[in-house]
Amino acid sequence: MNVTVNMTALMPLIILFAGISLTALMGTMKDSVKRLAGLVASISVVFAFWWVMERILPAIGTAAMESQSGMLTYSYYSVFLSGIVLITAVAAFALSEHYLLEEDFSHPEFYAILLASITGMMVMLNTSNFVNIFIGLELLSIPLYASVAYLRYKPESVEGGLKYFILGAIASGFLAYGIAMIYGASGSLDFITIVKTVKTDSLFRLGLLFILMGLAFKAAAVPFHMWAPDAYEGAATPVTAFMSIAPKAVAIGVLIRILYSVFPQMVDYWREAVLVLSILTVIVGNFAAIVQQSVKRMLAYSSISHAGYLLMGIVAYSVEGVSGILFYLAGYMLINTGAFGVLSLLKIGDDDFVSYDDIRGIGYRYPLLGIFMSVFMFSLAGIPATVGFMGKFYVFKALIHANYMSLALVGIGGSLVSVYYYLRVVVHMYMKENPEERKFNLNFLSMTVLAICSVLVIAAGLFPAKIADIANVAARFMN
Amino acid sequence: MSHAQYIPLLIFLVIALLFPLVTLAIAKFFRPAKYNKSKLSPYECGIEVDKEPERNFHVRYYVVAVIFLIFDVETVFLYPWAVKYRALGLFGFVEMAIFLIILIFGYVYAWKKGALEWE
Repeated sequence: MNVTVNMTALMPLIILFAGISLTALMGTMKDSVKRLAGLVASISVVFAFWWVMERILPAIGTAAMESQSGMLTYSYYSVFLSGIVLITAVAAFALSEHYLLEEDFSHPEFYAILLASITGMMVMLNTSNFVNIFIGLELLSIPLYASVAYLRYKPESVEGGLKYFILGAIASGFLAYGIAMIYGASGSLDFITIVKTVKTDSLFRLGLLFILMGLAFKAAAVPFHMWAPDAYEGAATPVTAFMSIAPKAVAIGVLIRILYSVFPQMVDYWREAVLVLSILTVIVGNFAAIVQQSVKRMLAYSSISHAGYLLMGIVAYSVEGVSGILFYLAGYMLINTGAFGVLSLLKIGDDDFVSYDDIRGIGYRYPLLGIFMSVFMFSLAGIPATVGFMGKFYVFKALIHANYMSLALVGIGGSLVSVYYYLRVVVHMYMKENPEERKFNLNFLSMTVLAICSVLVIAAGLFPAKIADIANVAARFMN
Repeated sequence: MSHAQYIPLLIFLVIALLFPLVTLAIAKFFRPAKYNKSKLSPYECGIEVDKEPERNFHVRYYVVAVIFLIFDVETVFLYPWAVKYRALGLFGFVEMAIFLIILIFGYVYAWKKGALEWE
């Protein structure tokens, strides 16, 4: 048997796997070695990022770079999303360094678990085969369940992890069942072969519905969002930052890939389904966020509503819509890393101070933190001159061009509602007195991450052309 | 698409459903009905239960079980590989070596963490 292995394509996964092994082994070593785990994990992610950008990106042309008969497929589109995942990962590692030391529960295995999840995301994004989609999803999910329950002595953390695990296992089952039905209907698991055989008979429709449900769960779209608030609230804040961005980007990205390039003939069927999902997600996410008492939980619901805006972009079914979604995801990465990053600093010992009452007066006591948080909140609300506004602008513009005026209006209405609860954070920070004096330790590394994020949020909001151009190229070359 | 090929599966399903029902019905008809306490207990094995088990199994049993499972699954993959060893050649050998190294890595990790120490 003659098998050729394309090491260039395989290398990012090998680098990440080496990172997993090293960080896990560090867990068995001396304390002085253990402290370096975050650094080692970040280096392996940065190295994988470098490899993707320097070695793989030049090899991609208008056609994707394929190896192992499509099991690994790198296109501009998948590389863009991989970049988002890897950058989020480094930011989350930088934030967790301080958070876990303050918590006094820092173990190298934490980084190994997150690295395993990142590897799963890379597998899931860079493939054109349903087997790898499923394996990637499992490799993504199982370490995430563990990382949500990482603070094992806290009941909320374990509760969130357990809920996520049980519901996530069912969602994985849905996806696997859907893939099985598509296989039964088409006789293949390869995207390119399936797209040639797609008809609109009932087995294809049922299979697509199941796949849609499995991925909507990972993106936390209503009505598959039940796990999200508890899991987001229970997890360590840097983990929440990571899991509110990366798995969502992967789920939405893979969903677009499957819907647009594997089932384009069935556009009439899935368009309706995604339309209903997106409207429900925007409405439920926004209105549930209003009544929350904890900023962290509010941000969890807000991330549900943002999944709704992203799903709206899918309905547009145009290159413009996809490039809008990709821009939105890039901006959302900056904003949410920042917003959860600020929350991760509001911590003394193993107590988090993330309710609305706790953040009263933060803006005066910690001016820099207040400014950062305000920037992120304005951006999440979609106020002009921030990247959040530009993202929504591109997505809604694509919707209007695709003659979905009323859907765009629902999205704009949702954003208007969201202004209330995002600005409520700013109001609490600057206009209320806090009777309790708390001394937060503003770690330099975390503050650097926040500074970079907030500067980029403003910069990309004022000069969006560069990212928009890249997103446009990525959207055009999906296969 | 013809569904005729699935008809044996359907017959099999029907038989599988009927079998326990029929046997239970027949047994009900013939068996003597003499019930007593130990016969009605959930895990009937002939001897009356005199006390509840004193404590739960210690968590280290589960750790050992998980480690056992790793190597149990390993053999499942090793058998077909060994049968097709010549056909797979060097590539198969390297692939299996990588697989084993990953497994051994997990084993070393568990060992170093003290999963195998009993007391």
